[in-house]
Amino acid sequence: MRNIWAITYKELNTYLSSPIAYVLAAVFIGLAGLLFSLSLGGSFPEATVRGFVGPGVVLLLVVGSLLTMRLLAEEQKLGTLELLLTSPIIDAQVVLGKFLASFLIIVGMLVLSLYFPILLFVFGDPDPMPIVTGYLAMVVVGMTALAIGIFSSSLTSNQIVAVVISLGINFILVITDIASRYTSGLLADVLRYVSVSAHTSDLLLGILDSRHILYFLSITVFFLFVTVRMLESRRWR
Amino acid sequence: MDRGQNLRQNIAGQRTLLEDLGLAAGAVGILGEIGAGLLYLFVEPLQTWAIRLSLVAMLLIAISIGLSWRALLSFLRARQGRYGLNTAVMISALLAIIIVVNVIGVNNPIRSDLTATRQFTLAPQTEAVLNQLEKPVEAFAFFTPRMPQLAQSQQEAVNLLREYSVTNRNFSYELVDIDQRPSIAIQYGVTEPGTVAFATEDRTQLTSEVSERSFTTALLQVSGQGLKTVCFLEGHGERTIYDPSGTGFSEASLGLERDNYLVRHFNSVTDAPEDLLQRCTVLVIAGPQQDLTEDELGLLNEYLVQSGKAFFLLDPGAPPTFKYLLLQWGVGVLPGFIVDPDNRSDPLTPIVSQDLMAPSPITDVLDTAFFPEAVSLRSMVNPDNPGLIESVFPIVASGARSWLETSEEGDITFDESQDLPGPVPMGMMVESIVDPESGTVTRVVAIGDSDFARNDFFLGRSNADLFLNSVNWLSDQEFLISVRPKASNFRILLLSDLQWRFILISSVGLLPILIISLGGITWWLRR
Repeated sequence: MRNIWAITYKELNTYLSSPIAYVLAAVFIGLAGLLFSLSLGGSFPEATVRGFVGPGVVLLLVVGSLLTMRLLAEEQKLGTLELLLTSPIIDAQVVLGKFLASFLIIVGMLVLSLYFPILLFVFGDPDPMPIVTGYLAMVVVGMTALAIGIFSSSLTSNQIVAVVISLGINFILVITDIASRYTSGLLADVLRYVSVSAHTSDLLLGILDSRHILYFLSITVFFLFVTVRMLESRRWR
Repeated sequence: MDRGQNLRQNIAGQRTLLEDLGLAAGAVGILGEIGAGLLYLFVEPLQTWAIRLSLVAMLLIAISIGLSWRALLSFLRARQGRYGLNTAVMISALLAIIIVVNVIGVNNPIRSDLTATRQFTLAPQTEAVLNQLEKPVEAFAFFTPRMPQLAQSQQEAVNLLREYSVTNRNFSYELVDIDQRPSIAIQYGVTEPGTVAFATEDRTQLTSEVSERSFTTALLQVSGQGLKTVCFLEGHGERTIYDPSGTGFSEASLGLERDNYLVRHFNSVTDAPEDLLQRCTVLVIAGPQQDLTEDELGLLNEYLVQSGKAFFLLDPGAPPTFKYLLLQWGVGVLPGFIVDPDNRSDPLTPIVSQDLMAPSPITDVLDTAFFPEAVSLRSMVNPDNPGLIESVFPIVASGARSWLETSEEGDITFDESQDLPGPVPMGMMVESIVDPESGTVTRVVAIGDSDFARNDFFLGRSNADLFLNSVNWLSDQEFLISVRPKASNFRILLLSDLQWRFILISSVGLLPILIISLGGITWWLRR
């Protein structure tokens, strides 16, 4: 665990001393704030964060890809990955440490966005639980995006290629829901189940369903596991 | 180079070629197995072909092993082969575990509605109906972005349908843009956005009300668990649904069955009163010839008082007890018959065009209907319930040149002193609230003719639509299930202009600037 924290600490330091985390956080919060404000600008605005959490989920898929694109790709490019892999730290610790660091950055962004629900409580009387489940949706989607991003970053030393692969996988996970409408039977069920959007809509409404949490955890665990195996393969390839 | 060396080289060359071919066959075989697996799982009509493809792929893999066993063995013995295989096996194993865990998770969900008003929790009655679904039911919610006023209704419909689909996997739903995919709307007979069609293989039920009560009622009907029952009164010379002759009502019965009604007779003498009070959603009284007994009259009146729904089709000379029963609900039957000189071929068959029909849920989509030998109906004050007159509405009347002929003998000509000039009302609808607390209503439709719906004329012009629309309107409020509407969870946020501007500026400007400033300070300190 200490090794994981050491990697997490090092990565967090890197994030906070480079502009990428700040720029991404500012853009994310700015866009989320705009969506939130616009959702309250109609004739009968509802005291809910649904206005920014829905699109925020898609934003997080992009932010997750951008945050993680350099994590392993840069190490491969600079040749520091070999150093890391030959150190006493095991591959899983490297992957988990980097994942945890990027996850903390996402959590930090979401903590900053709590300003929006606070405004709702100041000016109105929102139902608190849909806000909680909405944030839970963003946390699990963020985790998934980061796991996919780290996996993509382990495939190449080029950050641009890594982010393109990551966005591609995320895009597929988003559009399978649409694809399911043009199919039927088991294939439609599978495509719908694989879709990210099918698993966030309930959470946005205030419904907690074990299937959705299981889905996001499954994707996260799978991609983190494959990433570890990818790193391991560098030893025998 | 001697001959032996050449021969060895030739054999080695051929062996390499065969091994390469074997490896290629193996690769094709593995791809074939994957394809066959996907085909078998996802394309049901091609399952036989998937099995054939799988057999061919297995054969290719076997050939591959036979031809390239040396290459495969050396690959597996090599470091890359061992580790590669190990990694592939581990990833496959994890994938298999994840799939199994998710399949178990999908079939055993734990779901909790955390909203303050339990907005998305279905009523126990709805869950019971869904749990009894044995055949697949599909719902199509027809909406369009061109009507933003339906957006809220669309969201509510989708939320409800999603909960239905979560409760039973035999239920599925689809949101259909009626403008983009009109063919589906035509298939299910949907003409208006905002309609939800519930469909099984052999039944379709439409509802335009987005509520759990109406959806579950439609589900009950379409799944055959609880069809609304239309009872035809018998025992007084009424027209019968089993009579296929020109004067029978078998066509009307078929029309009702097509609209998902159960159709049956009710004999007020031989059948138990509970049959009427508990089973008959609508009672049709089609052309009675003989009077009711006192007991029967009491029973029918009790049925109507207990929010019953009755459809009277009375001909000239209708028995007095039926006229009396109708009068209790504010509709009187006038003596005589209607003459319509505009129908030159048969002036005793008034023709009613759309402009002679009052706007109502029954007549709105009708064109023209005709009524052979019709009597006139009028709203009349019931001394026991004088306020009822407010609930009686004429829906159909004959033309301006028609009249109500009151003389029973002699020439059929208009006599100002005796006859009533047109337009002469001959169709009435009554809606009376019997229990203001529960909102239950008694509904009556009365038409001064039963011939218009007999087999000879049922399919003529809009006669069938008038008959079926009347039954539909009568049964419309008769939900098969009682589900209390939930308290709305909509929490409006009333903001002044200044407050909204503050939210906009602080959200879009202040926070991002704060984050960028924090980044700037960090950079400055680390510089």
